[in-house]
Amino acid sequence: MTADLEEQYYKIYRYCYFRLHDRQTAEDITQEAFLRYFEQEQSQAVERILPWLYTVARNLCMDEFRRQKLRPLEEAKERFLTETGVPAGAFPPAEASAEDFSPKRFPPERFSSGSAETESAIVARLDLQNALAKLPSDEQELLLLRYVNEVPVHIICRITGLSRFAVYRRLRHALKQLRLLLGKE
Amino acid sequence: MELVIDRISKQYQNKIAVDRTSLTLHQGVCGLLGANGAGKTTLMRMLCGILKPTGGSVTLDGVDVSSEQYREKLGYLPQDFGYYPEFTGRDFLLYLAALKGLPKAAARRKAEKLLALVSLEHDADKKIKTYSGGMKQRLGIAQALLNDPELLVLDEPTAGLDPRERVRFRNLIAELGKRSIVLLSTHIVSDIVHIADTVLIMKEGQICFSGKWEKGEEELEAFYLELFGEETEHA
Amino acid sequence: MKKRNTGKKCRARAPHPPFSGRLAGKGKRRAALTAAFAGKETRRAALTAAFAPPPPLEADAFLRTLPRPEISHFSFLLLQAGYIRKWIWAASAALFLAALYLACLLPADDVWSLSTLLPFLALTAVAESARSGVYEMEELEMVSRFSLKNIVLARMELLGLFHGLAFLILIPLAARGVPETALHAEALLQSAACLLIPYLSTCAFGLWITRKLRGKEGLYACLGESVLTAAAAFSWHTSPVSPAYCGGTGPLLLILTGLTALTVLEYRKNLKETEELTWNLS
Repeated sequence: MTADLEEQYYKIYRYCYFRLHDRQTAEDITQEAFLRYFEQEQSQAVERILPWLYTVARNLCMDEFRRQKLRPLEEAKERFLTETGVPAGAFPPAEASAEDFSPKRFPPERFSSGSAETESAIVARLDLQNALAKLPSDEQELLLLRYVNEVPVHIICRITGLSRFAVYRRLRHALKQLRLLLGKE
Repeated sequence: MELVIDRISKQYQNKIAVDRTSLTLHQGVCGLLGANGAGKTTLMRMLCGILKPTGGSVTLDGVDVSSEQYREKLGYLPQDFGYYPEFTGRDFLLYLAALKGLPKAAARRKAEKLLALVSLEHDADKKIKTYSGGMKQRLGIAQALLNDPELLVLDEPTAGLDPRERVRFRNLIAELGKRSIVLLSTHIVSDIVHIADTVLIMKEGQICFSGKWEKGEEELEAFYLELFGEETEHA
Repeated sequence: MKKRNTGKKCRARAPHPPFSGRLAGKGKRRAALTAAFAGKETRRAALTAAFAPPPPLEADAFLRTLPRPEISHFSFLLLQAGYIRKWIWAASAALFLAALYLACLLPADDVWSLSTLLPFLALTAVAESARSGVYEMEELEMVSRFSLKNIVLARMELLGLFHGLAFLILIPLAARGVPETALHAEALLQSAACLLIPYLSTCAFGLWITRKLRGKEGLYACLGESVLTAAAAFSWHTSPVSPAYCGGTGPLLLILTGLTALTVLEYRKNLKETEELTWNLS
């Protein structure tokens, strides 16, 4: 099976952005990961390319993080919110409903959140982001890998170095925490 | 991105269709103007590897025209093309995407994007035999873009398009010219003036003018008439 | 928390109370989010929205520079198999089953009759190989990465395999129709000749026709040719003059080899044509 490189690019980029909150650096690292892979390997099978790309991207992100001074949390949050297209001064929200999160509205490949979202969807998303930010970052990472990028669990184990058992346990814990946090909001 | 055409010629038993033409093209839009039978289509077919030159060579960034690598970077819209009768617009794009080596998911995504780009998204599931000439032409343009080509060769692409479609097409070509080498042939002078960065005029198998055209449409038409002493089509 | 921008108008709503640091409708939002997490798909959609980054700006330009994915020959065959017309597969299967029936169930004397079906089997192969020309898809297919030549090769490989298997089954079965001979091998040869001669001659002649006559006319001519070959096979076997199975091993082998060589030759000529546009000289 050949990998769909375009899709993998978006997923790795999304992952790098999660770690760095900087579009340019995230793209640079994504491209670097791909280039390094192709320097070594011409094979295009998904099973080989995926763990490699994530591992390289992860390492590069960690290097980058160490290289830059750690930004104050608030500044990072502010940039995050701006870069993801939240309009300044959102209208008071209409009723949010589960409809706002229907899969049709957020197909997996879409990235630009902003133009087509309703006000309620924007606010609901913000709520979720706030809740997510309260989770430890390794749990956030697992949520992103498992549910958003749909990385198979055995590959997550290879990337993070955790056992299957640990991955499932932390995912369950993360989801539970989210439900609690959302409930308390 | 550089297309190097080196003394290319095509000779048939009783006729020389293209006579030792040399050209180097870079990113941007190049318009090829000339009457029917001037050799435009023959030249373009040689640039696509469909006809083998009787002399000379064509390379794109050093890659020869006969290789698979060259075709990977090539998008082509022929003057006339057919279709398998059972195909819908979408089927057609997906079939050609598969032939261009796109993986299924990428093919589907690209097809959707291109159908929207040429405004065929509402007609994508209708059979091609129900399409008008302009719709079929737009579908042809869409298929040429499937593999995100570095070299785009378009043979009379605006034929069959109504004025509004033609304007949209010009804008599309101008956009594409920013990222690829676009060579389009036409006998409609206004197309060239509006979108081409470089103009080539071909007569009897030879390029008799090559360069930028800074003046207007009437001037180009007058110049063309001077060279050929014939009527051209106004659009 | 977000401040309400008092410079902007509310859309046809009663004015809201001054911003209290909380957004209105929280309970409903809470419920909506929890509901969103109930189902897998909605959860996934919600998380995707939450983790969404700004759109990448350099993706297209970068991906273009990467080596394009390789496709194995097997995957390509599989792909082409899906595009061979369904009725071609159906017709091939139907013909094979009919031949099987005749080979197994007819009295030995009549088994030869299945040779009249085989020209039509050959017709399906010829029709499929000429398909790109008939529907004028050749230019577009030639320019694609895999090029027309590979497409035609793939189609022929697939159908060739299918027909080859059919013959492997039919030839031994039809051997029972051969009058008693000393060697089993000779019976097989006779049977092979009976089946392959009509098939190969239809193929060879059909390929020649589609090279000379483009478009639908070529196909109709091939159909006519198949009918003629079937009729010839029929009259050969029913004629009181010629023996049901001709001559000795020598001549038969010669004929079979000759026909196979001819078919291969015609096939290669057709393939050569797919490398270059040779018919449209305008």
